Amino acid sequence: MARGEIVINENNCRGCGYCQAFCKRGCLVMSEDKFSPLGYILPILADSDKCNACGVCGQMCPHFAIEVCKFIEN
Amino acid sequence: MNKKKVCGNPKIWKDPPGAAMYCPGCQHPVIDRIISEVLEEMDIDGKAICVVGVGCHAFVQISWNLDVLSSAHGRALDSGTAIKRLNPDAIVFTVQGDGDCIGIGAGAFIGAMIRGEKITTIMFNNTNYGTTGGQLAPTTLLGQKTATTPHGRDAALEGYPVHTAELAATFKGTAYSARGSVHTPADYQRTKRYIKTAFQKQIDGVGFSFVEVLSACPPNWHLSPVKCLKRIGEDIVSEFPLGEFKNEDSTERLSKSK
Amino acid sequence: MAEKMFVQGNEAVGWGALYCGCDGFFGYPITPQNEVTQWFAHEFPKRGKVFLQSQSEVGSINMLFGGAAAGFRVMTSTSGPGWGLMQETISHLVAAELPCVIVLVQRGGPGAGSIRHAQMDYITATRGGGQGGYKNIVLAPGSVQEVHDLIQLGFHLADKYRNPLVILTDGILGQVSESVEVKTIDFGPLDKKPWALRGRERQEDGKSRIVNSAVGVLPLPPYPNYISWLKHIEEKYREMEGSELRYEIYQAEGADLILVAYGYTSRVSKEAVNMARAEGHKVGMIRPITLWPFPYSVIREKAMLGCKFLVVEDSLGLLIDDVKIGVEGRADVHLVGILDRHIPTDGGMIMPGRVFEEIKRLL
Repeated sequence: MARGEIVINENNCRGCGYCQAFCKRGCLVMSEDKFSPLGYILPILADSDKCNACGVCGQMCPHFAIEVCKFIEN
Repeated sequence: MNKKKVCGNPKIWKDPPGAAMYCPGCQHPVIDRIISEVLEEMDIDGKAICVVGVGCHAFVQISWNLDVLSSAHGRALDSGTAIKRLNPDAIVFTVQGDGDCIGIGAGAFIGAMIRGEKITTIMFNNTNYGTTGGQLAPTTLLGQKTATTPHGRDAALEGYPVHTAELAATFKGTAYSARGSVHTPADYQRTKRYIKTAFQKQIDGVGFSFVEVLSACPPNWHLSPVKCLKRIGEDIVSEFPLGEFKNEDSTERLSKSK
Repeated sequence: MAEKMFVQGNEAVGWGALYCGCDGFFGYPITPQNEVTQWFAHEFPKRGKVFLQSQSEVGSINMLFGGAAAGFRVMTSTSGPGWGLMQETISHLVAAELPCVIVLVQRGGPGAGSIRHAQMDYITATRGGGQGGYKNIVLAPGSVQEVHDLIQLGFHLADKYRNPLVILTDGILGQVSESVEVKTIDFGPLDKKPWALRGRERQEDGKSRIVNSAVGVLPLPPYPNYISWLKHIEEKYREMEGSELRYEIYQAEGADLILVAYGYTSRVSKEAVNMARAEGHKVGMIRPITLWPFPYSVIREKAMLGCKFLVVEDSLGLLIDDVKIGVEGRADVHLVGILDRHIPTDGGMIMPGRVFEEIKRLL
């Protein structure tokens, strides 16, 4: 069960591919055919269940396009 | 099940931030994120005055919620010097590019270190003049093709890449000098530690603190963003080794340092 | 409480600055203004004020850029070659709307020229020596007392218009000693400079600010674009031109010949006018105190009355161009210049006797 949630701001994303490169668990993969309003190739959530909310994708994103939240059992 | 935000815009980011002017895969904003996190964690963003130079690094001025002065090309440390001398309680730091700091700004850079100004400088090193279309910079690697070295930098004509962090360490007025990068998450954390230490030197009033940070520049390196990271890990780090080159914690030790 | 002193023109720069709340001086050694930097080195630190010798004049003018942006009263002083190095950032100061005072103690040029007096920087001081064409008020003292007074007026006008301001003196006025009454001249309350950079938490409204001179690249509110900002700057120039003109008229009533001079040559000219008047010649003088804005109208009035003009300036002829603009072809404009010095060396100067000879030749 995913312990984190990744939200991509498609207006900011520039399709650089760092999130895919830095995600150790392959949760994010650059799509083949999904484009941002500005025409950049967007990453898609390939396997969000494996996300452990480490936040590295958002941290390394140069365009502030990724927000990561951690689920907390109350 | 509720959720806690782990990563998003830095607290001091404007909402909405100014128009982002960065090329896909440019790592300057990653360094800006580190600086923001450090300022927030040290709780000094409220009394910080940032002086940016001229170049790609300068566009951060419209994104973060800090008092920012945009200085003449190469003169951020001159302007910063006066601000710090006149307003010593402020945390004064300069954000500069390699061309801005050790190219046109070498005189101001060396002047500030000779005087031991209690200022922190973060120099973004992307081995070229980015904004103007990728020309030769003092940090351009030998053999690297740029808009003004079409056949690659040739030592006989353009000399050798300058090691700014090592240079800074040779000045008695320098309390701290290090070089980091952001081409891996681990390097992100190391660079953050270097920058935090640098600001601490200013807070403690020891002397000048300097952190050089390697930064990918896909369009001017003519490489995809991910290949730029590979280039940093291999060619650039071998020319510009990462680490700390000076770390003194008192003015007495500075006056005795070699 | 006024204090009487006998000091050099260069030192009067310091006393004037001190008495009007100058916070910091940033300078670099260059003859013939070294007494200014040395005065600040001795007098400012012990009063808790900032004195700093930079690594070059490019350094000092950019220190002014920082100090002014942080809301302080800052100044520098320099001469010829140093003045040349400062041009880029003076243009930035105008664009970023930052107030400061630059004292230019003129020496011989071009190039390294000479380390003695001259008046050869008139054009670059009054026409914007740096990029983009800009204006700044230029005040030209004619005595050591006036150096002290115009420094204080200079800081007031710089703050009033948020613009750099130049005090134009010369090697002779800088080195000569005269008695001075040192006091604070009251120009009303100091401007609070809400636009200055202090750190977000220390701003009254808690909002961060940006000071930037790249107004075309990154327009800042309230000017949405480059041209709307340039229009604002143009209006500022018109205001300065309209309300800050200052000049002295000396015995020009009913004169047939008018001398025009500033700085040390205005003292020489006054002497020559007295010599001519003593022999019954109707001669007077107009002494511009602001070289920008320039007193074109009063010169035009005299030209329309049929006066002839004699410009007395220690250069090959720079001020003369402005006098010709004022005259608009209505009268002849003659020059006693640097080539008329009493000895043909860098130590020579324009003497009253030589001016008097020219007066007689023209009448």
